Amino acid sequence: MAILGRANRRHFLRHPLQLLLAIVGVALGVAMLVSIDLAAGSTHRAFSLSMEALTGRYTHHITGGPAGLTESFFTRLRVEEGLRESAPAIEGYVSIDGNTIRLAGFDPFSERNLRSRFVNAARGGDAVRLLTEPDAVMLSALTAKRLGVLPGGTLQLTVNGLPHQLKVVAYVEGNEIPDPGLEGLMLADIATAQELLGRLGVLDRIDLILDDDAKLERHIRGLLPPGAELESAAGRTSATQNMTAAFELNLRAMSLIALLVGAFLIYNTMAFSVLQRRELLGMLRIIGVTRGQLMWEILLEAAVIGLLGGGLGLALGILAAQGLLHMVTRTINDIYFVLTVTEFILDPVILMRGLVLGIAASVLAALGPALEAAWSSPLASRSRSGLENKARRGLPWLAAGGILALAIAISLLLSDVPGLVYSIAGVFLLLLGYGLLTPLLLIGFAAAMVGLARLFNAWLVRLAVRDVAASVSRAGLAIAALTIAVAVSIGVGTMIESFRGTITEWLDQILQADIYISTPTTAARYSPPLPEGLQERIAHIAGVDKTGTGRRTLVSTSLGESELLALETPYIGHPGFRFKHADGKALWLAFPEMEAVFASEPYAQRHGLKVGDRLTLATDSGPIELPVAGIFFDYRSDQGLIVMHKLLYERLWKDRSVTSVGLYLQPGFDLEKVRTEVGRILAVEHQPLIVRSNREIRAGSLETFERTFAITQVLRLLAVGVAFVGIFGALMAFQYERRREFAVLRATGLTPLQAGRLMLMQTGFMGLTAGLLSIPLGLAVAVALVRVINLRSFGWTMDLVISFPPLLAALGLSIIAALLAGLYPAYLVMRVEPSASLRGE
Amino acid sequence: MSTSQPNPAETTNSSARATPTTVPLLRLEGVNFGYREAGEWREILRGVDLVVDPGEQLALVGLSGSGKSTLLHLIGGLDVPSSGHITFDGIDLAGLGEPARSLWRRSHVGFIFQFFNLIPTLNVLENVLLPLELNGISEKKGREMALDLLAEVGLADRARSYPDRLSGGQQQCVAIVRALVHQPQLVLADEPTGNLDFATGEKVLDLLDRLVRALGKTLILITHSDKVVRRADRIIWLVDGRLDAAF
Repeated sequence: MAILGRANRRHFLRHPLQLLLAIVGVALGVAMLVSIDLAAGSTHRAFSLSMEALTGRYTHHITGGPAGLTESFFTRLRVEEGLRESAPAIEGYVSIDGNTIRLAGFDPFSERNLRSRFVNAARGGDAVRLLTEPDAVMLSALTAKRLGVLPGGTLQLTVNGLPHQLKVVAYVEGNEIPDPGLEGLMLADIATAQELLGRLGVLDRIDLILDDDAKLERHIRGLLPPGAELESAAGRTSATQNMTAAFELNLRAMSLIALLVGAFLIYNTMAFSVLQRRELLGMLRIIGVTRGQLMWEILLEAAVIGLLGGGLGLALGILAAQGLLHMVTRTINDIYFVLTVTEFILDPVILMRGLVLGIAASVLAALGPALEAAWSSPLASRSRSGLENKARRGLPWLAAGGILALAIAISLLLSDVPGLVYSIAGVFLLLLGYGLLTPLLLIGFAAAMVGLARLFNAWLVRLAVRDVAASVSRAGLAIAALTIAVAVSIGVGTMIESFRGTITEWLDQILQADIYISTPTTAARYSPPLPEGLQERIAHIAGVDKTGTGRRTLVSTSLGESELLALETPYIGHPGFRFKHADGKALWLAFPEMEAVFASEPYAQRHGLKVGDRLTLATDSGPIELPVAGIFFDYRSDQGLIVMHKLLYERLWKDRSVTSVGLYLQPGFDLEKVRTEVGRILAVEHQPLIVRSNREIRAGSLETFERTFAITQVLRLLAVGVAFVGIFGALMAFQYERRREFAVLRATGLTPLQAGRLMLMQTGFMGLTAGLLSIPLGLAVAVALVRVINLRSFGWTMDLVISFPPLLAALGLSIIAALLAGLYPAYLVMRVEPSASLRGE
Repeated sequence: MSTSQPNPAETTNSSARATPTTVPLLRLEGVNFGYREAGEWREILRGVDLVVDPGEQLALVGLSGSGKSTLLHLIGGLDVPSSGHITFDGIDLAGLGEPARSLWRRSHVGFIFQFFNLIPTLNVLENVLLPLELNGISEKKGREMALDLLAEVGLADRARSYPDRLSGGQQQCVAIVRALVHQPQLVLADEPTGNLDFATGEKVLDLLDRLVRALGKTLILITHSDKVVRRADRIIWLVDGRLDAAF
């Protein structure tokens, strides 16, 4: 049906702006989805490669507690027990010119038989130099280039705050050139690494190949020293990778919201194009085109728009992904673990999926208008009043559908159904259901506005509002799309504000000391101990009233590897945490004597812990079972941690080291004087450490927080951008559709300026309606995000903070967006020539 | 209503009237049509009986709102009566589903409207080719048929022009060609000269009359014009939805 196809497709060629808007709508939605998927995919691959690079063919690992494993234990396993397929490993992080590099110490002799990646990488005679020359390391060519060092050159770096100079003896050669798995990695002989990291005689890990031998596994478990654990390599990798699962899922949800708004945009455009062509389509039906043929043509158009928009979206998505990759990696580094991503992976599966989703969204979005066009009587489709009457008759059904969607959304959000996907589905249904109610709400609001305009004798306003309400089939859709976009903006903005408020309060609670001293940390979840005796030296500084200490480490528990914080604070009167459903003061008073732990809310949420539950910890004194005495609010990370008193920790692990010291100053004493004195002591001791005031830590934490939400802010703006494009398209179609009506008004006596004002009043009213309607929806989205999504994603309870300025700002944004979108259509309306437009066909 | 007894609601011109032995092309029996609007039932046609023989030219006249267009739409299968029967060449149109009526309509009916209703995104030739394409005529043969008929009406040289470039008269000529090119048995025209000046309207009517008679088609035409009425073989009066014998 070539001519039938031409009849429809030339419509778009005659309205190129409309076609462009539809394509852009699909493109933006696909771009957001693809960019996030590509960024996440690249980080996943980098993580997998780096884990693979470190574990090679190994099937299992033995890990130790805070004190690590001894070399003698490795010797016992390898020599006495005959486990020849084993190798020791030690890892740490070093800082080179602000770059964090992972230092891996390995034993070439142990790994030789295992054909490990490191042995392969350190090929030839250069590998021997790792053993024969002091302070010798190897880097990948890419990393070396990044750091500006050649083989034979030296590297100045800092490890645990101490400066070192190392010699780069050769490049590592990976399985591919360049090998992304070796990126950001520094290889050294294990002895060199132990010396650099200050851990002589200590191992982090023993890697093993066990070949599915359950009996051997049991035997090895029996040999493990207290605090050590045997786990599979796959389990370790997936446990680490799972940390970021919730973060990535939330990112994807935001991108899906953008695709939803994009789909609304496509629905807008297809519906308007079908409505614009209603006479043409009616005529085709009269001539004898069947419903099926008409539907096919419209859906084919939508598929082509989806294909064009999807293709453009892929290109935009690839560009955006590279910027997003940087932001995602930075957040992962800030909150989860060190990750170096240098390779941007263009996964064809992701690209194909994005394209298919774009086409599918277009076709689905066009289904409604296609059915409407095909199933309308050929005569009714040629009558504008018939169309609007039909639209009005359908409003109660649409509203019923909206209420049903809202009911399902509320039940999903309130239920305890596990799985974040259901909660996110609930938010989607909330948006969709409210969107379906919008046209009915528009009618009601318009009636109220007309009444108000009558009171003030504002006839132009009355005319504007009545016109919008009379075109509910078009205006309702555009307003729904803008309402959803602004509501998402309100919801996400309120969530961010709530989070900011909660974080600020939390920082007030936990930061009680005036000055904090710690070693420079180069990686999240990793804190090397402070030099011995530092606390005693610092405590005697004039102005220091009391000191407190903390020891942060990773321990094995019955719930897996967990972060442990051992605390000793001088002031028991002020609880260091805000506890959930408990008397914080009473708990804190009992803390020093307690043979129990506190669990952070994320930790409790992840592991289903309640107060009174018991937790087994692998200690140097053997496995110890301790009750959970309290659950506290904590926003350090979504992995959570357990807390015990330092005295208990020292008893159980025979470890008296600390990773941080807090100084409590005498009232009124000058903080800077104390700080200067601390610096003097540390300089004399040749101990470069980080000294930060309470205020500096607070500012730094909030800065990390802002960085974490930078991605969310970008996605939020994009969603509003997509809606703006949608409303612009709707208003352009509006203006085109009603040019004869404006011509009649002009012929009746309306001046061009009045005609333009009328158009702007209509668009302004649409923006006002969308803005007002978006407020309750936005607040509902905020409640869902704060009370449900964030809680289930990260285990964080936050105080919901609702303030009026952001709501007013959102209302203003909606009105301004609509007015801006209406400027060009208003200009066109002012240029309408009554005589030309009133002439018959 | 059988053809053996004259219907007092009809008057005939002296020109050809089918012989009593001709099988009717179209038969309406007890046709009623109404719809609900704002909660009220509006009756548009009441008990309409009509028989149309092949090759007849009927003029359908009546005041505005008498139901003329509705009757035309029912005959053309664009709508179905609330009750009664419409039989075309033995086929009960009301018994056909919408897809079947569309298929029937594309091959048996040609429509001509007051406002031309050409497809604005197709040129003249493509507008005329569309019914042929819908009827499965090959492009080559279709072009021949279309250009021949366009030449008959003196518009072959405007084949590539778009409707908005043509005068009203020219557009209506194209509409007539489009309505006839696929050789439908029945042509339905709703005030084809209503949007044209007198002189142009006369030309259009001459053309329509000539082509319809030359091709032996049946024509039902709505009009307010005496001159048009005079050309018809039979005049049907509609008053308040009924064929009225008083006129």
